[in-house]
Parts: sequence; structure tokens; C-alpha cells
Amino acid sequence: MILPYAWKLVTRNPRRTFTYLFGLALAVGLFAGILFFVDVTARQMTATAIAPVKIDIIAHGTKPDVNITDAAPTISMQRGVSAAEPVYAADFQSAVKTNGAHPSPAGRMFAIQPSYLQTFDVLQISEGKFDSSGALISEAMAISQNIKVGDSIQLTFGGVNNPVTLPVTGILNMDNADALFATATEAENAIVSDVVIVDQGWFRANLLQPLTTAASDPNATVIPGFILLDPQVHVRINRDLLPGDPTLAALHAESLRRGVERLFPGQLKSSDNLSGAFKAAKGDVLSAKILFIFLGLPGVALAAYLSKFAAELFAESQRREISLLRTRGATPAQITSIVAVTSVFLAIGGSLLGLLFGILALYASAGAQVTAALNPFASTFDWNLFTNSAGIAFLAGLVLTFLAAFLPTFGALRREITQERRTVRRVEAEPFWKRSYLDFILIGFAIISLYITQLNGGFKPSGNEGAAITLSLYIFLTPFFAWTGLTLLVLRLVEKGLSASSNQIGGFFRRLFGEIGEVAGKSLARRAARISAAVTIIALTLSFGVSLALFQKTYTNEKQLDAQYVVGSDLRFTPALNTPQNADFTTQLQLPGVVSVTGVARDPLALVGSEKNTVYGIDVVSFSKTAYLPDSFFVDGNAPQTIDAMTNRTTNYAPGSAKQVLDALANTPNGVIISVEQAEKYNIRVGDPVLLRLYNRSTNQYTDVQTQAVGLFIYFPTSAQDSDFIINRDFMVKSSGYEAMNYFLIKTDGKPQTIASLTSDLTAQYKNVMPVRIQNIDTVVKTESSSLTSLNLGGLGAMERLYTIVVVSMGLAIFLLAMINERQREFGAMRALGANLNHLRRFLFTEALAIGGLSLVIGVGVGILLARLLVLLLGVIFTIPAHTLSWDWLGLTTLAAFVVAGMILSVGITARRLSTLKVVEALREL
Amino acid sequence: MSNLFPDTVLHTSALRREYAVGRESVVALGGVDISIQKGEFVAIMGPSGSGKSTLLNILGGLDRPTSGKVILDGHDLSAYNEEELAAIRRQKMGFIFQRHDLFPVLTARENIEFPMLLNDTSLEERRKQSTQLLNLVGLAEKADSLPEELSGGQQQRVGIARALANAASLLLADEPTGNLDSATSEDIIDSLIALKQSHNLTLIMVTHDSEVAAHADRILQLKDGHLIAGNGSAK
Repeated sequence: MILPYAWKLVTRNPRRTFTYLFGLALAVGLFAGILFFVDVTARQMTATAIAPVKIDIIAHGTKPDVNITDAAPTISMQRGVSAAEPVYAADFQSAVKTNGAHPSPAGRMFAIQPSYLQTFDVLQISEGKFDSSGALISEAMAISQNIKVGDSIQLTFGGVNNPVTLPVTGILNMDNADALFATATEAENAIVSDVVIVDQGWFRANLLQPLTTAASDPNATVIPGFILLDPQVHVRINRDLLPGDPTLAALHAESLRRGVERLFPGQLKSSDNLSGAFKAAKGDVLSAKILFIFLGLPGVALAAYLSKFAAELFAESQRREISLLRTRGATPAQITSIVAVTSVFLAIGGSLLGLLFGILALYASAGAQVTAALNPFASTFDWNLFTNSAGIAFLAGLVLTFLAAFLPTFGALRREITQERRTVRRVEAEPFWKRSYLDFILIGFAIISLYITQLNGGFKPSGNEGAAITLSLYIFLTPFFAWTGLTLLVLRLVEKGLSASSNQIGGFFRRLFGEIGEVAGKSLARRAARISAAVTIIALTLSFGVSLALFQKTYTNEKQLDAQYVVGSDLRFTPALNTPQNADFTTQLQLPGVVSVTGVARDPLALVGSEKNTVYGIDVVSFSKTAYLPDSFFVDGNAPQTIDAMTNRTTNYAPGSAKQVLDALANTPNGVIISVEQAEKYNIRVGDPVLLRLYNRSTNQYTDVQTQAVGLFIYFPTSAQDSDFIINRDFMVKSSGYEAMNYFLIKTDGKPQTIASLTSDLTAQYKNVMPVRIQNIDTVVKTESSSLTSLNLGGLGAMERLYTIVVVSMGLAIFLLAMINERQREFGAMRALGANLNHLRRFLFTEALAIGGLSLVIGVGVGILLARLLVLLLGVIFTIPAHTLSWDWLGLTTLAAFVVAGMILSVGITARRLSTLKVVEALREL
Repeated sequence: MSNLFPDTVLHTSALRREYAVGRESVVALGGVDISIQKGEFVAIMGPSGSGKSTLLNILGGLDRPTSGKVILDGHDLSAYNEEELAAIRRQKMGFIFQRHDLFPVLTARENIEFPMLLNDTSLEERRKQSTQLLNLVGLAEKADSLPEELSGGQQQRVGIARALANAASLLLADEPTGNLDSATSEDIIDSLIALKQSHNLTLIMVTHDSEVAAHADRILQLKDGHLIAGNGSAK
């Protein structure tokens, strides 16, 4: 009996059912959309984290005679593996250029098959080509020995009687080759700078046998870190099959690694290069989840409150229905069962609809790159990706229904039957939060929490360069308290403001809508509690759209700034090593669209004390015009504040300016500007002499160079990783004897299309002339920084904006409809007394204008405040911390325009409701 | 008594009202002919579902008959649209509801002034008239009270005063004493009759209270939508 009756309650009250389903679906949809977005982002972040990993698994032979030539194809056929290449590694004791006088220290030879260069993006030939009878050498080796393509080198191996001689057919860029040096043990990679790559066929013919014998000799002297012969299989896994969650992906990769070992038990020991990346990604994904959920959850809370509000539209009639059932003899247990079953139907329907909204919201907001990967018909589609989130969102819908639709009936069941049958408005006591001033208490907590955070130095990334940045929940305490406190404070102030200004409000609306406007205005002021609730919901929903739009713009700008910092300017043009550069090479780069060019010299082998440091040489005049140089990069090295900070190892430096520091460098030919980090390490102050030892490539000797510290910086736009000492370029060239520039920075008008077209023009210009590498701010990848800085906030922002517009419009419509619903008798009486539709509409417009206007003003104000708070707390996740908001005027104006349009539409729909009001029915006695 | 009411204010002929309830049709009024003269106090009585309120709503232009005519001051109400009927109600009629239906967020004075406001009466004139009406119903000291601060009887008095705003000549009252105790009801009826006489009002009242109806000049008895007693015409 109960099931069919409950079903009829749902299906035969279409207006009530639809309103509740839609309200619930809105809340569940936003929640589900955010969770799905987090899942997709987690997948992207995992992919971003492992993108720099060039070799996924390296399986080392446990013995020198392991047959890797046969092992590789077997491994490549395993499920989950997309490719496997056999590689031999062997250290040479020395290498010397034929007719050269200076042998290099020990280095490493890798013997690869030609296909290796296509399979793995590890080795980049910057000059020459791979030849089966020749050798490729690393840039560092080419510099140190002054070897060019066409020269020959002689290599000496331990255990091999005669040295081998090979022609150099190419020079390699080893920037991405760290993974080649992964050892079979857990020890950190020991990167070797002198590297030779040869064809595996040549290696087998010339070196394999003697090296195998030497390595197999039990009496052979084992030098720690020195490899006699290491047969390896380099494995690339199919990343499309990796789960999106980094924890699961790590398990998957580990399982593959163990599977590789099991294929050749006892013969292979594999190391997994992905685990470190997954570990970093785990922290980042958790932080991203916290960030996204924090940014999105208030919107969900507001949408949930709105759905509760929608449920209350029909609560009165539901209560009277229940009271009638009780009058007819239904027991509380029976009524509870009916309401429970009805609630379950509504919950299931609303939650399923909400999940659909969530998927649609994700598709609408996440962008083509994401949605292209979300094809449920593809074999690689990960159904598990959304299962957990869908389950959580569905449960949330059930809980919300329980709270909004089911619980209130218990109150009704407890009250007297006759009391429930009355339609007189209840007088409600002042809520607890108001009596206890909870709003002020929470705002106080927010201030205290912020103060404590700032006292502790604020939120800072870890001190180690390259370490992952994580977010912990505690940093969100401040905005959580602030938001909750502000919500309640807005409610209090609006209510108080409205109540206290009844005459002023009446006067204002009289000027707008005539005499009836005054009555409507006074009526509004006297219903302050109800109005303030509507204003609070709508204003805070709007505030989250505004705050996220501002935060997103700031975040995007900071991403851009970080990229500019890494590149140094709009483009960085790096010709291959040893490329002859004419004196007018800089002029050759002045293509249409180029504003200025500056060449940067680099000495990667310079010594400060006994430590190797990279020193850069710049031409201050052209560098100042070309490079990205915000004042925030520099500190005032002479200021006592800076000296104190350096002494006490704080970061409270006195701010400096680019002009001040670079002018000092320009005016001091032997000047050097130093990073504060290195200055603290070497205990250098401005004015101190600094001895540098620059490497002269002509003489292969070091030249001692006396410089003088003239300025300090926090960041310098040359290379993000290693720019700590900057001197004048002319001084460097004179000292090093090397005139060619390492790379050139190019400044354009900044437009993305100019940068893109210049990139392709330069690529085409030098395609068959010299190998070049061109980076621009779009293509740079920050390999050492947290992927927290590469989040797609745009997608979340788009979803939140969509929901802001929908929830604000729906909120106003629901409130106005509720107003008409609750006051049907009043409107009926007005009609009976002779009010026409125009009169009634002016009542509606008065309330709509008051709610809409107040919500817009408060929403924008609170939104700006919240965005400021978020930037203050989260700005430091970037290398260059954000300190101010970036204003997206177009985005804000568009958002405001859509919100206003949505409000107007809501008012139009509710005005239509007024015109269908039947006086007789409105005045009918129940 | 018959010669006391020479002018016909309201006249209906073959007034019929049907409602569709699901697939069936319910006849609320099955052809009613009545005639009400100026200054008359007519009580409409009958059991629940007899069509009393339906008849009153149609007479007041709040509802439209399925067939038949309603002539008010010589004008056929069926010729007017909703907005024109609202204007007629505003200018000629006053409504008194069983539940008072005062606007809860307006004071007693503001409630009384509301119909005048709809008629674009000036503020000064509204104040003057509302003060007069408050005095008339004996509530001058309650002018600034909200309805929740007034007793049931006081609220109904404000309702009566509101009905008299805009110098309405025809009062339509639907169970005006239905929610009041007997003493207060007596009081209200006495007030209405006094006002009727002093302002030469025509009063049509739906009531189930025979004691109230006893004050009327004429009683119309309805049953199942038909007039079963009480001549539809004035005595």
C-alpha cells in the first residue's frame, strides 16, 4: 500500500516533484561536476608528473652476459608495455680527441639500436647525425675537448687491450638524459657529463666480447660507480592504460616492473623511474583535490541550501496532507514510511539527474583536450575514473534529501494535528547564531588564523629546490572561517539594514514605481528576515563566481609570469653548440615582430671556490630591453634590512629594483650580481670582491677573474635552474676567450600569434642551416616545480561561473515564486480590492530589484575580498609569488551581464505566474 | 418594506456556474435569478456546497459564470475583461473576508489606505479618509498597529474600514463573523448595519449564522446551487 501511494505522491504532484528534483539535481550536479573535474585533473596531473620521465623502467642484467637482444622483444610483447630497447652501458677510462693533448676523465658509452632514438625522447642530436660506424658525443664532452663533428676520438676501456677510435658524427644535447644513468640499486643517479653513443651492432662487433670477459672476471677490480659492462633493457609502458589516480598508477607501474623481472627470473633487476614522479603527483593531486573542493564546495553548499529552500516551498502543503492522514487514522509509523519511500524516490531521481548535470557540466567546462580523452566508447576509457566520485555525489544527494525532505516531517509528526492544519504563519524565535554572535566569533577566528599563519612566515614552499609543494587543510581555515562568518554577518546586516530603513526604502521605490512602490518597499523592509536570507544565498553564490574568476585570472597570469621567468623573455633561441656565429647573428634574428634581441653567454664549467657554478654573461643594455625583469626579482643589497635578513637567514629583504641592480652592473665592468641564496652561502655582501674561475675553451684552462659584487637578486631570467652569478658579457668573453652566445632572448609585442608565428619563422629559417632549439612561453615545461601550478583552473572556473549564473537566477526565481506562493491570499485579496496586474507586478519588481541589487553589490564586494584572501594564501605556490589580484574585466562584466540577464528572466517567469493567479482559488478556505 | 428600495443595484438572470472536476462536471449554481436594490441588506444562506460563496464571487466580479448574466448598475459584467473588473471593484465595491485578509506587513492605516492607493488618491486625501474611517470603526488609536497586534474583532473592523475606502457603495461580505466569538460577531454586525444606514450602502452577506441573517432585510436560501427560499427580488 505504502509503495504505490508514495509513487502516486511523486507522480501526481508534477510541479512539486519537478521543483524538488531540479533543486536537488542542481546541488548534486555541481558537487558531482567538481568531483569529476577533480578526477580528470588528477589524471592530467599524473600525466604531467610523469611526462618528464623519459624511460619508464630500466631492467639491468644481473650478469654481464645476459642476452638483452632476445629479452627486449619478449618484454615489449607484455600487456601494458609499448616498447623495449636493448642498451649496453660501459664506462670508458678516458677519451681523447685524435691529435688532441688533453684526455677527458672517465665517461660512459651507451650502445643503442637506431630505433632507440625514435622510441625514447632522451637524446637530442643538436648537430650531425647517428651513424652506425661513428659516435655521438655529449655537448659537455664536445666543449671540454673542443671536439667538432668530423673529428675522431679514441676511447680506452678497462679490460680491453686496445683503445677504439671512432669518428664523431654528431653532438648530443643531454638535457633530458638523466634517466640513462639510473642504476640497478636504489642509489641516486650518478650523472656523467662525458657520454658517447654508438651503434649496438658496432659495439657487439668490437667491444662486447672483451668487456663481457672483463666484467665476468671475478678478480676484476671493482671501482664504486664504475660500470664495466651493464646490459640493460629500457622499457616504455603504455601510459594510456595507467589509472588516473597516482596511487593506483604507481601500483600498476610497480606490477609491470615486477612482471618484467618475472619474465627472466634471476637475470634482470629493474628500476622504476616513475615511482618518484607518482609520489610527487600523489601530494599534488591531494593538494589539488583540497584546492578544488575548497573552491567549489561553498557553491555546492549554497546550491544545497537552495534545494532545501525549494523543498520548503511545498512544505506547508505537505504538512497539511500529513495532518489530514493523521486525522483519518494513519499512524506515525505509516506516515514515516510514506514520507521515507517518497524521499527515496525523489533522492534517487534527483541524484541521478544530478550526476547527469555533473557530466554535462564537466563536458561543457573542461575543454576539448579533456573531453577528447573522455570517450566512453574507447577501449582505454577508465570507467573507474568516475565511479567513486559518482558514488559520493549520489550519497550526498541521499543525505541532502534526508535533511531537507525527510527530517522536517518528524517535526510535523510531533506537533498537534490541529496545529498542523492551521495555515497561520509561525512566529520563529531568533536563531542561535544570532543570539550568540557567531558571525563575529567566526570572523574573529579567521583574523586570528590569518595572523598566526603570517606569524609563522606564511605558507611557503619547501626550502629544497624542486621539491613538491603541498597544500594542507589548515591553510583553508582562514577562508573557511571568513566565508562562514561573512555569510552570517551579511544576513545580520541586511536584515538590520532593511528593518531600520523602512521609510527610506519606501521612498526609493515610490520614486520608481509610484505609490504602490512605497507600499511594496515598506512591505519588503518589514519582511527583512526572509529577504535577507534570499540576498545572502544569492550574494554569496555570486561572490564565489566572482572570487573564482579573479583567482583564476591571477593564477593564469602567474603561470604566464612563471613561464616568462623560465624562458627569460617571449622566446629563447638556442643554436647548437659550436655553431659558428657571425658578428651580426643578433641582427639576423630581427625578424618582423621582433622588438629586441639579446645574446647571453654561459659558462657551465665556471668555479666559485672549488664548486662548479654556471655563470652568465649579459649585455645590460639589450638585456634590460629584452628580458622579463620585474622589480620584485631584485633586492636592495645595501639596505640594512637586507643585511639583517641575510645574517639571520630570513627572507625579509628590502625590495630593490631592476634598474638599480643592472645599472650597477653596467657601471662596473667586472661587476657580478649574485642570487641571495648563493650570497648567503658564500657570505658575500654587496661591495665584496668575488673570485671566479672561468673556463677558457680555447686553452682548456681556467682563468681567474676578480669581480666585485654589485647587486643581489632573488630570481634572474636566464635559466630557472642555475642562474646564480651574472657578469657583464664583454668581460666574460674577454676572460673566457669564447665569443659565441649560448642563446638569445627575443622580445616581441607579446601577442600569442606573434610569438607563434615567429617561432615557426625561425624554425623554418634555420631548418637546414643549423640545429636550433626554440622555446617560447607556451612550450616551456616546468619540470622541477609543482604541477599545482599547472592546474586547469579555467575548467573549474567555467563550471563555477555556469553554476553561479544558474543558481543566482534559479535562486531569485525560487524566492520570488515562494513569495507568490506564500502570499497567494494576499495577492488574491489585492485583486479582490481592485488591484490590477500592473500593481501586482510592481510588488514583484520591487522585491526582485531589492534582492537582485543588494545581491550584486554584496556579491561583488565579498567576492573581491575572498579572492584577495585566496591569493594571499595560495599565491606562493608559484615561483614568483602573486601579491595582487589580476582583474579580468571582460570576464567579470560578462558574468555580471549573464547574472543580470538570468535575474530578468527569473522575474519574467515569476511575473507570468502572477498573471495566472486565480483570485477565487487564492481566497478559498481550506 | 418593498417601497423602500426602488433602485436595482445588482441583477442576475439564469446565472449558472459549472466546474470541471476530473472528467465530471459539478454544478455550483444551477440557474439563479436575483435582484438587489440599493440600500438593501441581503443575507445569503445555505448548507456547505450550496453555492453561496460562488454566488458572492460572481456578484463581485471575482469569478465568471458559465452562463447567465450579472448586471451591475445597468452594466453587464461579462462585457468587461479582468482589468476592467478590477477597476470596477476598486471604484464601486468593498470586500470583507472571513479571515480579514489584512496585509500582515502593513499597519491598520496602511491597510485602509491600500484601495485608495490603487485609485491613485493623493497622500493627503488618503490620510484624511483613513483617519475618518478609523474613527468610524473606533480604532483611531490603533492606526499604526500591525494586524498581529490587533484582536480578531479589531482586525475585522479594519477590514470593514478598508472595504469602505474609495466610497464604495456595495459591500460584499463572505462570512465576516465566521472566525469571531458571538459577542464580537454581534458587535461587528451592529457596526455594519450602522454603516449601511449612515452611508446608504448595499450589503450582501454570506453567512451560516441565522442570528446574523435575522438582521437582514432579505434572506436568500440556496441549496445545491438553486434558490429554494427567499424571493430573488426585493420585497
